[in-house]
Amino acid sequence: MNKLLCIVSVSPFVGSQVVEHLEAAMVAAAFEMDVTILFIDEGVNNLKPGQNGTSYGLRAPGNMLAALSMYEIEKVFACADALSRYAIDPQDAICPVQPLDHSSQSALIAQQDVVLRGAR
Amino acid sequence: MIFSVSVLGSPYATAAHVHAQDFCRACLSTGHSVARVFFYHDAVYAALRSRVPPQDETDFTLAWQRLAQEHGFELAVCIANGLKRGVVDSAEADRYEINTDTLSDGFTLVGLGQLVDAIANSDRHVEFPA
Repeated sequence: MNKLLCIVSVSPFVGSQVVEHLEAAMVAAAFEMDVTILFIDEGVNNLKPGQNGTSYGLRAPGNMLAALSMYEIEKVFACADALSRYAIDPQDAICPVQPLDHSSQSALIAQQDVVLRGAR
Repeated sequence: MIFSVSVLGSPYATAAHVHAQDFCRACLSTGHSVARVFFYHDAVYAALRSRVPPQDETDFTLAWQRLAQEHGFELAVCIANGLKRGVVDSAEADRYEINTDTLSDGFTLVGLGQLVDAIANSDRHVEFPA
């Protein structure tokens, strides 16, 4: 199984869950798996620039997202409805991201060998 | 069919371990095999040796140990997630000058590469999220 999708649906500073989930995606990419990331629900807030986890004592997922291209993770998508709900302009996102409607998300999931759903 | 399994949920805040153990039993009783169970996020607490479960509650650690021993699969704990939650083997205890190791017997601290290896070398990967 080579095509792996990580779905991120948790806000940036809800514990370490997003950081740990992204670490799995990065390691999978380092092991030459074909990794795609999809942000849905509150998870789209991880795409906001200017994150600072210092006051929470946590690492900011945004720093990892900015480094995705170093791991050759280029396929990054976000739920268009969720982006709209949280007033996030994809042009302002911390990394290049492509909005997807619900049917396109279903098609993306169907293309994968394995989906890491992570925390909810 | 070869399955690999990852468990993400805390043993005391989610039903992830109960569901994952039931799933493994179902696989094994129907002729399938489980290659590896990978513990990630707060699921690593199931490998913490210093826990003392009350007598009227399920001992998740013991249940995993018996299942793995009986069927010969690996209980792999993410080393990074384990370290920051106090789950250390003797080598890591020595490295960080902690006065005791806390990893239960039958579990192994491994890198995330072992999760990827399990996914790549199984027919199906099933995740039990937080």
